[in-house]
Amino acid sequence: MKRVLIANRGEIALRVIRACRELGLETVAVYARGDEDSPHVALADRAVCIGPAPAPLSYLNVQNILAAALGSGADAVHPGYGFLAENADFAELCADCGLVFVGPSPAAIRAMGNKDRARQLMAAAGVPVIPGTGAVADAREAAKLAGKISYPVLLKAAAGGGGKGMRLVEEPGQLARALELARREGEAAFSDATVYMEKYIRRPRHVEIQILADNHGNVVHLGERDCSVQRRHQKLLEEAPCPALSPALRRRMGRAAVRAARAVRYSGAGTVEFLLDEQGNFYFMEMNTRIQVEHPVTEMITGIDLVKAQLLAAAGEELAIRQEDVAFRGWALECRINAEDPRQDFQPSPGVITGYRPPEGPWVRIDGVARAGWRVPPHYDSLIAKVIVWGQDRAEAIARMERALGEMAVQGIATTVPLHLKILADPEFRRGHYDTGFLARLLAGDGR
Amino acid sequence: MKVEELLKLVEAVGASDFDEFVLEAQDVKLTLRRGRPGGSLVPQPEPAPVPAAPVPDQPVREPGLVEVTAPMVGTFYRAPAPGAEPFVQAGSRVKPGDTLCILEAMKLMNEIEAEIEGEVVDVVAENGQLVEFGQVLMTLRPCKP
Repeated sequence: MKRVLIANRGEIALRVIRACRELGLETVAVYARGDEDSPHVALADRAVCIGPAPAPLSYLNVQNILAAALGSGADAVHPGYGFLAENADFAELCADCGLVFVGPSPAAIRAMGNKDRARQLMAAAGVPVIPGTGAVADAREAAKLAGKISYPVLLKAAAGGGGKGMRLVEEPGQLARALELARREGEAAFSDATVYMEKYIRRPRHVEIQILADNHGNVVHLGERDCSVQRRHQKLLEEAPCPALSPALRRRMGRAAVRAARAVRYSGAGTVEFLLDEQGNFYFMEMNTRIQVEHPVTEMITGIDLVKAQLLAAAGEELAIRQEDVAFRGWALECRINAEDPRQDFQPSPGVITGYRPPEGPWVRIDGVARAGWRVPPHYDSLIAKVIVWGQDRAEAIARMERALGEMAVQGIATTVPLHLKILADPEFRRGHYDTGFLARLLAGDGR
Repeated sequence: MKVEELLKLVEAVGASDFDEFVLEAQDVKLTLRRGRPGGSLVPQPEPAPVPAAPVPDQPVREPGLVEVTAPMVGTFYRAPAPGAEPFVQAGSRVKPGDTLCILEAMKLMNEIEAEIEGEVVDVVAENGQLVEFGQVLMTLRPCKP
């Protein structure tokens, strides 16, 4: 592997280019019209325009990206996250063209991409999944099943989505009526009255385990990240370690994640996402078969460069570390600075950044594309920078993040910085006692 | 035109991608031009030394020339086969539908055809080289109808 084409833009393209450079690999960037001035174009050894601004015509244009890779003499393609990162067909086409896809096999991507299949695979591999049922026939069967799963349970219309056809049942007395309502909603909204049942997880935390694997069957886990601070399933602030995990629980979740990775013969960097309940039970949600936005917090507490590890694994090298070599040191936080206005219901705020001062100083890391004079294009992701800090413990990390965000100034566009300061100051957050409903409660509190 | 309407207009243009906006109505002539970014209140960090993106040489152009640009990323070929006569060269007369060159992408040979009648002025792209989306391949001087 000598030359890597980065099929992405934004901060992750910069992250990959930097890792390549440290490994002595040449880099080819791709960009859409309008992205000529984006930092990844300047940082790469070479850049190729692959289409007009809309992503389907450029960053998702498989033909142009592969032509750019072959024509520029690249021998590997790093997909970053988003865009083509979890597209098994793209991974396969890369292989067909003789290009190394920096990621797992197409088969592993497919296995984890199909939620139902992934759940069955995981259950078979001994990874805990949320207890659930097939189609529920009638109220009598429902009562039997609910007793087995244990209350509270959630009834879900098979074709449902967006909360439609979903009913929470706290106790047996509510079951028959809730089943009827879920059926009727399913029938009305999706012409399908089929209803499933699953265990309802109260106040869950989103805790995910980072995995590293090679092509030789070695798999290690690098501990967890807590990503419970989310808005509509969009993560906003992440930390490692998770304040709710004991070393014993960390080991159990880590082992489960390694089993998950082994079950699909995983290779490279990946993340197994779990829901963690208040009793310390955890359940498989999904596996992300790519590098993640929040990977730096794991890097900060393990000292392991995940993107370099990805590239080395793709090049066929064996993992340089064993599980017993993985040690955790201190605490790391990441705040996602998005071009969004938290006071205007998180409306995107594209435009020209007229003034920019990133935070500096000890143990502050910025992975970002923001700079003064740069126009945030309206076509893509709103992430303009990630502020990552490390501290000896959680209290120091929080104080450092507050200090860093206090130094940060972004002019010309609205960002999520004020919201992050509010989260960091919140007593519930500072105690570490928060769950996936935390941010919604915090935002609702503004209205009072 | 009312002041409120004017302000709304300025706001809408400000939120758009336009660099310049000119409006001429009965009673008003308005020109909005986006200033260079800067003049901010926060201290500016030193700009990182950023190598400029390569810009193809812009030859002095006569007005009215039409650029033929690459509709896809691919390898540019001037001739149907190695050693064969090029499809066109400077001075060639072309009409709509004539093949100008080939772009090879994913082992597919895509013939790029002339869309207008005219004369080839200059073949800018280099034979056998990768061309980007939108890159100028050649320039044509259209025939006066």
